[in-house]
Amino acid sequence: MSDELDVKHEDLMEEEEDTQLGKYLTFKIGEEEYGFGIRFVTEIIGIQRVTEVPDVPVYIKGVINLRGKVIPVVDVRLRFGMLEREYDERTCIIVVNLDNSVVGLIVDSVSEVINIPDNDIEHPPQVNKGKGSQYIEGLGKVEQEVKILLDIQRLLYDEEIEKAAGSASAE
Amino acid sequence: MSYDIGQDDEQREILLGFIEEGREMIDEAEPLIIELEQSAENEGELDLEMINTVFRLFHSLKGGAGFLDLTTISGLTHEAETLLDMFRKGEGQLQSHHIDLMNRSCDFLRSLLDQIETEYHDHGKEEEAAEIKEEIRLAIEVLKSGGDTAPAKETEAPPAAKVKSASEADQQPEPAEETSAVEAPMSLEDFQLTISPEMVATFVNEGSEQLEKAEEALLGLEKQPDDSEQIQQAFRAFHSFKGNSGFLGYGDMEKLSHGAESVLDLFREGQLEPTSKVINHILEIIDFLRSTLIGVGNGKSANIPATPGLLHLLEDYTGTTLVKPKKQAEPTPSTEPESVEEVAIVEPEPEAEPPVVQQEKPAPKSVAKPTSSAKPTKDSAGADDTKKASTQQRQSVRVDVEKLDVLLDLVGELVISEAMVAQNPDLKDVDIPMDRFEKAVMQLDKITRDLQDISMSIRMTPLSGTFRRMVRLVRDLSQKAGKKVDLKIIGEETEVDKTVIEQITDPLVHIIRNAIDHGLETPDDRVAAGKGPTGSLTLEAKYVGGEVWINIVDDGRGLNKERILNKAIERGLLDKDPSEYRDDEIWQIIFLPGFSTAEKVTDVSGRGVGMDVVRRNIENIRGKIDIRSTPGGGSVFTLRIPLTLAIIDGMIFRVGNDRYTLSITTIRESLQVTPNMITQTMDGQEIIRVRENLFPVIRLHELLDINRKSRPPLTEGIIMIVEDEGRVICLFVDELLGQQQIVIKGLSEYIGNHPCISGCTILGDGDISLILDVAGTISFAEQISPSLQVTVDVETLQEGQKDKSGSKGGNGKKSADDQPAEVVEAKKED
Repeated sequence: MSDELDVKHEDLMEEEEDTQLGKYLTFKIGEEEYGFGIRFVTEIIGIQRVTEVPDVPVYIKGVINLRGKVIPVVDVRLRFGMLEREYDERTCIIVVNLDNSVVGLIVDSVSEVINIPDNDIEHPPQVNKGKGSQYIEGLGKVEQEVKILLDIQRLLYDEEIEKAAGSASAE
Repeated sequence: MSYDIGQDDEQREILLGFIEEGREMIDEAEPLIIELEQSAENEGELDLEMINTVFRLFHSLKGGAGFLDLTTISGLTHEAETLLDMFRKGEGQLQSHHIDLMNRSCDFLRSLLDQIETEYHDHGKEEEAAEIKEEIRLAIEVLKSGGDTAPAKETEAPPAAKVKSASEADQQPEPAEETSAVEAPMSLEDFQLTISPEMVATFVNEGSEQLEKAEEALLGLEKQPDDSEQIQQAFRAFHSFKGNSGFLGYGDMEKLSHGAESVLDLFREGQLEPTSKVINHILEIIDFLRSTLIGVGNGKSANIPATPGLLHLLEDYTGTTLVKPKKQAEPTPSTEPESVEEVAIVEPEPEAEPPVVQQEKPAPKSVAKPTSSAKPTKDSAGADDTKKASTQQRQSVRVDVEKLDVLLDLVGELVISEAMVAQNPDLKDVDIPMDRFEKAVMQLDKITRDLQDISMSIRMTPLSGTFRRMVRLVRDLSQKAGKKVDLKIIGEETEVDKTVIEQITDPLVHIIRNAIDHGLETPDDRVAAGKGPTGSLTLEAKYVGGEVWINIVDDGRGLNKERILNKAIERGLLDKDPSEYRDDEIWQIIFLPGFSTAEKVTDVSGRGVGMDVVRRNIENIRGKIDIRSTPGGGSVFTLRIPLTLAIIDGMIFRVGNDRYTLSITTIRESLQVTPNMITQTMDGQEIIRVRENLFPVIRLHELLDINRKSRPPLTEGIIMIVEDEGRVICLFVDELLGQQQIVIKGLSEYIGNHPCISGCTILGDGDISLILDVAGTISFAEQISPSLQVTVDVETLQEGQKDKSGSKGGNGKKSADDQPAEVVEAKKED
């Protein structure tokens, strides 16, 4: 019971963008569908040339030119610890804005924007193995399918601190 | 005010406008006030125009405040204005404590403005204001009743004078008791004429406390001669006592406490042993002071006939005359500020000051120079617009900084877009002649460039404002530190970007503090070291290459290498053997957090938090700090700040599939090498010989650990010889792609910082090019491969710095010019 209350509480706190609440952008990585709150999404673009940057974590592929702005891009597959996949015409970059930090997320393909009422969202299973699981915010039930809903903050920033301390990048 | 002014937007705007103007005015006034002091002391004559300017500034401030019903401000500025008026009309001698009053007023006004900014009113500080006003009125009275001659001659209180109401402008015969009354039209309201009994009472009370403290400290000192805390305490007590007596015109008491203070200063500097004998003399003085104090409290005279005698006794110790016949008629009313220019402690030669001030430099602004040419407005070698910046004549428009930022961003984007059009890859495919198009593009290019120049210059402000603020700081600091400092300001008209100004103020303050507190020696020390008693501090700004250099030069004792190294060792800050540190590296140690070699903590400096913050601030504006120092000769701190923060001339080159950019100011030369120029050491380090120099080669992709399929031989590409501060390396690149103006963009914080990369830019075809930071790259390369020997070039090193070549470790190759040539000769034979 308290789990559901937790989820609800979080939603309440994000009520400022309540028109977008409950709406998720879903995308595909491999066979599974993932999603996160649409309120973070600024735009979606096709994959383009990425310029490598030295000495960054492996999942940061580099930077791209977005209409004159230079933004970093993260390969979500690599972030999940999955194998890299060659980019094709369906590969997209989802540009998100989190606290004024703009980052692009490279995904296999983008699906749709759907409404998922809170009732249909389950708390992530507690038994977690593997790196990717820490980014899961919840599991959304949509008709016959399950979408893995992600915590953007964690997706972008978790472990960053450790990494920064470890590498020479924190100059 | 019956309504809440904060609610009214329009009123708020007006208030904020007033605040801004007010701050500017105070900024303008302060350095002038200080100059007035010096000019008065040195020449005995006041620069009329300067006084007028200050007067006008206060007057305007008063007017504005009055209009906005800011009574505290208008009241205070009114008093100040009145005082200034007297000097303006030649009705009084400007003395140091008047300057102090003005300074205090300025400080207080600033704090009022701060308050108004947030609270929209200036109430709540009436008491403080009243205090200052009181003192100003007092000063005015003193002047009116006899000008500069010491009131100590008569009874302590200046003679009663009748007050005239505001409007009266003509002379009134004041029933002055003895001295010639210099009449002045007084336009003051409810003015207290004599030194009020309350003031005397306060003085007596405080005074006895101070004397007690001093006595206690001295007794303690006698038991523990090396207790510096006691010395400090006694010093402070006498210092305050001296100040207070001076204000009230109790000349003898002031002199005596000054004498005591001087002796204590000698204790402080370790020049004199606190023996019982000396301490006894000082205690005697305390006794005299005490009894006189009581007498004053009972309405008796503050004269102490024994003063000369007592002072003479002290002279045995100070070795100089404390009883000095002042050349100007200001024996006593001057309080502590003397220490800057004519401290009685040292051989009094106020005439010596001006010659100590520089002569040769053509256009430097010497703040100490008393002549009329030292007027702030005329001195700038720059054009009229800089004059405008500092005079009242200013045609300007107030613009919201945010709007400016947006404007500049847009201009930056425009530059990129323009490049994207002019260099569009699609154009290559066009077959038809493109003459008209190219002409049009050239025109567009030119206009864009002009727009860019102008918009950059909009944000540029001269450093004069910042430098001027330092004048006051130097004065206060040098007094506190008991040192004589002659401040020179050169190149204040140099302009830098607004953000730079904001960021360098703190670092400047820190460095100047250090220079005065630790770098410059006391007059005695200096004389002992064969230097003039007045230390010199120079603030200089100039353009060098693509940078603004701000030099802070002092001729003090310089940085102490041993002390720095030892402290660093103590704190575990060294990461290699001490003997392996070059001089310039040793100086840089002082920027490490937690470092400080000061033995005494004087205010803030000495606590080890200053310098690392300094460096960080400078790095925030992508600048650097260089230090040069010679023991006994002084130090030079150079702040090097890139001139245009965002747009540089870049050279674009290709390595593999990636394109990089470098600032062309770092490129010495580019060439293609032939096999005979190449040498390879046993570790695989490639070295190129160019004429008589040997340079290590860096393959960029390897350095940055970016994958690359092939490793072409050096002969199949271009070698770029780049340098930073005398450190030179060769970069091996595949192709040079051309030069263009680029807009520097930061890499997102998400990416973090790489020492070799200082940002990125978007090229004409939309691709991103990383910008290489040459300095960072060289350092990084040295770090990565310790066997790398970076050439330290003799010619480019500035004079004074020891040339230690970068040769370390085993390979036995030196990078000096002579030897290696032979080595290479031996190798090559073709």
